[in-house]
Amino acid sequence: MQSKANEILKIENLSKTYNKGSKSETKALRNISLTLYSGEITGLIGPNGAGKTTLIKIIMGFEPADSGLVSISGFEPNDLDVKNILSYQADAHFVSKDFTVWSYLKMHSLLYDIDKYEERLNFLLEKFSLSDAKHKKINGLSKGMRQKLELIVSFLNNSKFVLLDEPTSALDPPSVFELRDFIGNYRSEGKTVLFSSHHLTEVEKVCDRVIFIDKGEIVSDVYLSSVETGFLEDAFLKYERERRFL
Amino acid sequence: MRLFYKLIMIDFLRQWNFTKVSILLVLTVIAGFLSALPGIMGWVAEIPALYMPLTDYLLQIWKIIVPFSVLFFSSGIIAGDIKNHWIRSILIHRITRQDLLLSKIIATLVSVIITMMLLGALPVIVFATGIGVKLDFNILNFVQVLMYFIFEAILFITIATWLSCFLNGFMNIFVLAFWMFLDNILMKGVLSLWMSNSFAGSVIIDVFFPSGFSEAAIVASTSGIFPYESLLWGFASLSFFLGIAIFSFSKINIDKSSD
Repeated sequence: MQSKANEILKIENLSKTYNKGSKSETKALRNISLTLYSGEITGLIGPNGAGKTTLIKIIMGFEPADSGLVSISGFEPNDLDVKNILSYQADAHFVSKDFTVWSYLKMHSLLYDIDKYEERLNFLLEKFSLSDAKHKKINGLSKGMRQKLELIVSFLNNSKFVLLDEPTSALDPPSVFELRDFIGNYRSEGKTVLFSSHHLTEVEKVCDRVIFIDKGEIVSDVYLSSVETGFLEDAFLKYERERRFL
Repeated sequence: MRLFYKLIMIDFLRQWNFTKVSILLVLTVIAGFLSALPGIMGWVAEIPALYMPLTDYLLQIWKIIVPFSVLFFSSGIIAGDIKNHWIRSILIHRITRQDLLLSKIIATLVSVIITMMLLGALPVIVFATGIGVKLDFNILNFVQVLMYFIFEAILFITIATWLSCFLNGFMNIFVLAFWMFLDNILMKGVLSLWMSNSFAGSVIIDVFFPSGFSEAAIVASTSGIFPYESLLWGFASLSFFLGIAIFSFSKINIDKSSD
């Protein structure tokens, strides 16, 4: 049982509707409530349009919720102090293309105010097998390499809480193993990761807990230690057939 | 504060990509060559003037260069950076939207000032040196005119930034160019004849189609009078556009990706 002191993210009755009052009105989130605890890797899964990215964007403070409360270690998403605790890896692969890998990471290190950033950068480039590409232009990188680059940015400042939006969508199997290994070490340092993905097997291998959302609602919230291996895939298929998760 | 300076530097360096550096270098070389040509060819040997008033020449040149360099450096200033996810990538740091907006305006301003010097001041000096005429250089007058054009550049950059909050791609500079055209052709010409007598007319002309700062530069340079009225209109306009630019940027959706 997790204690209140361990809470890193608390969301209560969060709702968000796009294009309110118009024909294309979409309820992206409906009264979502959840709590994440330190040292946990949580998977956020659900079909396309379920509300995963909207939830992440609201946690990051990129857009406001219509109602509800989001608290990250006691701070609101738009509080600047949150940026010391929280970091983010985006799902898209459009990182600014004017830079080389090294200059892009150096820029983020400067903005994070990291002392001796060279050491940290070399360590992360090595971990994610990007050392050979460090002087290449981002423009010339493959989709998977750009995704690794964004992953490095999210782990750059060693923050307590990392949001990963579809982190494995463009990665090849060896890179997925590297990421899994890295996230495992991250957890052992007591850090928290919220991991949104469509890859159920991957989520099952990495996460301690899985939150399934659909049509803006939490359908299920399960600790994987309490269920059997392969549970997620079976449960997902059952949900597709019967609109019931368990 | 240190972070804010870093942000300005990063944005400034991003603006000077290979294409922009090349274009500006080529233009500087052409402007320098054309300015040196009369001296080299001896075309102006019979010019009687012994002194050339630097500020008067700069006034005429900057009136053209400032709007064009603003258009050059502020195309898609917000929309482009939302599209390539730059703004989202920066806002993961301890940076407010207001700081980011102001840093972008300042970085663009620095680029515009460099262009003003390279394509404005340098050719005039080359021209004067080439024909062997001394430059009449009044430091106070120069600084005053330079300051007014810097404010004018800030005003145009701010308008371009505001427009870029809701116009896609490079559309902001097309609209800004059209705005400048309206300002010069319609507002300051035909319409001002019957609109300037009313308060509403003055507001429309001087706040929404602003040229207070360039007028201030002309007044200061030609009459030597301190241009209170033009400056007040200029600052009124700048405050208005800066206010709506900050408001628009604070509301804009910076991440258009979806689930």
